Amino acid sequence: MNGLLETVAHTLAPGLLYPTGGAILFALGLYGLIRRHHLVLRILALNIMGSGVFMVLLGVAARGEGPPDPVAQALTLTGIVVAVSATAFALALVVHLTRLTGHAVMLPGPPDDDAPVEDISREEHHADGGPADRASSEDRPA
Amino acid sequence: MIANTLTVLLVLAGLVFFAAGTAGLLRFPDVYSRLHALTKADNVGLGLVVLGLMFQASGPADILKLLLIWVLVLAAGTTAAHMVAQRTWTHGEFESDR
Amino acid sequence: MNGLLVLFDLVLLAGIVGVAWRCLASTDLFRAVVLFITFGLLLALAWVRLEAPDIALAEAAIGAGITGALLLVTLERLRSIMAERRSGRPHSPPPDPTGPHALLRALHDPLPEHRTFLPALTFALVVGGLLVTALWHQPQSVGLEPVVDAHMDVSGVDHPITAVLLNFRAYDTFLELAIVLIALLGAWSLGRHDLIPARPAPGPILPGTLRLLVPVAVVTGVYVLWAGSHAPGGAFQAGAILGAAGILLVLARPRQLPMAPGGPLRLGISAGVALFLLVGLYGLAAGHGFLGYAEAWAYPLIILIEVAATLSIALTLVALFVAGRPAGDDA
Repeated sequence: MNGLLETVAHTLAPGLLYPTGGAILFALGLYGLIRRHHLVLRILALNIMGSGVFMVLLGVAARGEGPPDPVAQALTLTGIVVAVSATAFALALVVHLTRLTGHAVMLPGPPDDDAPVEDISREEHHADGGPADRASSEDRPA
Repeated sequence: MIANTLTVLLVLAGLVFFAAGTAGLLRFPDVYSRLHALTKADNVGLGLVVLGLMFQASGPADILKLLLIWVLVLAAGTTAAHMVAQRTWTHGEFESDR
Repeated sequence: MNGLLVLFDLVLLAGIVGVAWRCLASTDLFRAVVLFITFGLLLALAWVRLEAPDIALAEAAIGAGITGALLLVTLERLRSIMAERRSGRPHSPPPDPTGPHALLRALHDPLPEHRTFLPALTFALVVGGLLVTALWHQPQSVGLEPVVDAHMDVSGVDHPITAVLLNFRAYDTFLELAIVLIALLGAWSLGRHDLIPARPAPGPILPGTLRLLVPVAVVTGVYVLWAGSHAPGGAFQAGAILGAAGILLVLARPRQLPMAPGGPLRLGISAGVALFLLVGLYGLAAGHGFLGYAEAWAYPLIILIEVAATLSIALTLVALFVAGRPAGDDA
């Protein structure tokens, strides 16, 4: 009984168990990303996929004897911060889309050309929202 | 050895409170009684867990950090419960798909 | 003992996958977001189990805390936009005449139709199966841990992850800070910020708690930053803690946001990237390569960069929560 337990424990070591769980999370997020239409839910699905990747990385990093691989951990830390930035930007886009079209749903099929566009004129738009935008808005007289 | 026994006993006692609080959260009918179950049980439960872990601390700094965690959770839990209750009082029960 | 730990792992993983599943299967967005926050907290537990306390700190603070706050405020924004569209402007065309009526609700997503069920399931199963197969047959390797360990004495810090983040692979961290900055610029390019659609909480409880919490959060943030050189912690966790304090302050007075002065705000937000770049260029000029440090200067430079990065991350997270350019600086 004890020997069997040890064998099972060896097979289910964290270095194998958690990467498997990460792969399951990734697949689950992928499924949700395809199936759900609301953009906030899709962002959640993407985040869950990302968490699956983090779990694979950290699980593989914790394999074997000795302390875990710090490079994989540092990479994951970087990934978490990038994920929150991307999520925040995506959510800002969703809010903007909702303000323009009235819904935050991405329907299957070709994009809807009849969406009302009258609101766009109200907003300031900069085609290249990058550093140039920042510089120009600083230079603008108040 | 005594310290380890005390830790196990206190953490187990804390877990009983957590289990009771969670059961209350799941089973109680309205927001107020759920909050009541959650905050009371979790505060005492966390207090017991923290008290148990203090016997494993390596020095006074660790003990103070554990104590700080408990105080912060008390403060944050109180505020969150108050705000949830207040919102329920003014806006009715949570019903998010409006 | 080992068997008990395996049991814990299995229960934890089942909980994580189950919560993720309930989150994605929820028709109600508020429920989905709350479940997602729970998911982040459970992940933090898993990271502790995988001997990654740094990641657990970051996950609890950023993955669960800040992301949760961002998601919740987004839901409130969507709700207020929909309410405004429905009540205030009766002449505007209906948002989406072809879609089913339920789709027009801001915080509700009906269950998907059955037509996509089989393709999506097959695709996810194939991808997941391939991933699992690849991971189970991956050859055992020691990774980069021995390499990092061998070079710790020249890194200037005592904590391997901080050494990797700010010395060995500083390039990644530099680009990461740039991504954080670009995300904020992207959000700002969408327009000026509007009011946060949160009702100010009446009563003395929230301000009183803030008076207690914010100083503690500042001390904790600085402590975590300082601890990062020899123990789990560092710029990102500290930035997240300070950012959370900032978000709390914003939430406490949603109707009267302090007018953020444009210049200092922009300076603070770009300080991390700018200082990192300067140090990198200095390293290039001094012959250590881009983002390389002289050994004797490694510790002070790392601390300097970390302080600037913490400031930038904290300010950026609050700015992303507020969303939109500060109102004061463009006429």
